[in-house]
Amino acid sequence: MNLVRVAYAYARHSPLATVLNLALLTLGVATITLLLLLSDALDERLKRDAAAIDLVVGAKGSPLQLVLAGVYHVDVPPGNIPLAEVEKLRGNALIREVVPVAMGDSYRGFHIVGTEPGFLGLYGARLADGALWSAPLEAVLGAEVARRSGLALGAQFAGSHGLAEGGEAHGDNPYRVVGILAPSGTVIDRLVLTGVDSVWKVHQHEEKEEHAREGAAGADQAGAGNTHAEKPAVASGREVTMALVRYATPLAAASLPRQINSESSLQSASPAYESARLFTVFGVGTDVIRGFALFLIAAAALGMFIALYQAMDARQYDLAIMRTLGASRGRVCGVLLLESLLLATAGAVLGVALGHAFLAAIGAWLPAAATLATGASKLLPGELGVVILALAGGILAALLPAWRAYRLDVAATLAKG
Amino acid sequence: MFALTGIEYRFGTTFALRVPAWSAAPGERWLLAGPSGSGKSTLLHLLAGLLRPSLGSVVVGGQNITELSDSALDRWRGRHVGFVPQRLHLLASLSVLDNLLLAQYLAGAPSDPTAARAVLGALAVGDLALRMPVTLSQGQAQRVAIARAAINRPSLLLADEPTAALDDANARAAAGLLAAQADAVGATLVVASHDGRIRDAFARRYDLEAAA
Repeated sequence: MNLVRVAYAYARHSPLATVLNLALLTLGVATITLLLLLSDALDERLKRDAAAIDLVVGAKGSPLQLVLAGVYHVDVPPGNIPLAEVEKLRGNALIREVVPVAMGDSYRGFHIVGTEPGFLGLYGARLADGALWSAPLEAVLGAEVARRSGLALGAQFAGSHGLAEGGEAHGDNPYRVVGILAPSGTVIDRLVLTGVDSVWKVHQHEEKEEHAREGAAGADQAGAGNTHAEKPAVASGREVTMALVRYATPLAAASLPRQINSESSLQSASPAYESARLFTVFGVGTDVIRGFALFLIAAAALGMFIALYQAMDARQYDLAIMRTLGASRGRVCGVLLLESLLLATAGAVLGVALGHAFLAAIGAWLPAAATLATGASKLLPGELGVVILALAGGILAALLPAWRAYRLDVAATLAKG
Repeated sequence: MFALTGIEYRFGTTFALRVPAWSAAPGERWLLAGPSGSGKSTLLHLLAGLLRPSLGSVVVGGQNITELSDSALDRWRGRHVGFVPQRLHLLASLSVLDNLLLAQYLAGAPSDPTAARAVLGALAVGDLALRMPVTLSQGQAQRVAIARAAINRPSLLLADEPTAALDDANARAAAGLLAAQADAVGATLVVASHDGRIRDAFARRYDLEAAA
């Protein structure tokens, strides 16, 4: 026999209130845990995709769009830039590496990216099978593209015009799969890579046709709210969509972006800066959900308080008996605190576990979120904060009942009851 | 065993109780008699260290308990006093056996289920050890409450109106059981009661006057 057993016996004695408050607390903690895990995974994912890319250089327009299109491949790019401008960057002493990127076509919703082998290094990707492209219309598939499309080495496929699914197919110029990448956990898993010249070739052949369709296709790709006049991404001539840049020295960050923006017709955008800006946008949404989860925890604490306080009318006799049996004032108020803490601990542990289970389930059900769900098995420092919050709620709920227990007049209680 | 000297207990500005002198030797059985409102419960609470007198001293087993600190008094009570309250107040969320084990725990005694079962057996409720208190009859609950008061072998066994809720047969039995348990653990017994049915069971009697 000890105080924990006594507290446990009381919690079990009123199962409805116990289960209700436990459920509220568990849900609150689970929600916050899930949010923490998701934003951490998202943050890590954004950082991993942009890890080696210091600067994106493209046509004038929104820098955020440039980064979303060039690094994360979730937006259409602004217009094209002359390859000559990109080549000029190669000579810059502040720059270690320049990787040109030509976009505009897709295969089943996966972007086809015309680029150079250096692109793999930017995302830390390596070949799992086959070889890199060496001739026009040879393609290397990202791991997820290969898995979802079922295309194997040697298979042929036709890219379709535009970055959204359902564009016009470039049936005359099919690509041939020459390599497949190992999974990297970055956006490259969902890309089809080829040489820049492949993209030129596809579009040169269909140039005339394209010009006729240009307006309609452009509107489709750009979507609502995008004011950039979408050109067929890579038209005739030596043009690319953008260039991904790696600095030779950290000092480059201070001067290079400004230099590019002012001295050429190009615009530069920093992935680190733009994704931080993006986070402040969705920060509002996560703040709202976090507030709601805090509200759940507060509601659970309030429920625990009401349950304990209401039980005090009946409990005072038990507490008086415990005092008669030799328990000090501190001990009887300890029983109440323990009971509340026991419930809070159970809620915190269950909540954290449930949060992780939620994330694992989301990963299992939504393939797009699979990479985010990898965080389901790791514990974040922030989760300790959530547990402390839940325990603090438990203590807070028991404070007033515990004070009543401390002040209990044993003789008067026994006499009246 | 205990000696009360010059006790006054005031409740606000009114005297609730006055006990000029009362003492008992170890092993004696006392009936604390008096009409309702005469302060029998208050006097028991003073003896148990649940109340402190406004004036006077309470010496139990050589210890002047009015001089003890609050927490020392709690510890002393757990070790030396067995108390059977009028309404029994078995803890409803604990089994019969756990009620006794809790008494051992709170008194600072090692947990001893065998001893607990033995006491229950001696009071003829050994087979109820795992029952919850709500399932007990009044007479059974009374026995369990006596067992809980006796489990730590107190030197002072106190009972407040133990027979108020019992029929004649059970009332006499309860008085007998209290006496038997007091003998078994070598305790001095004080039973506060105005119940005529058990008056003869006690050799000694202390009468309280109705409050003036």
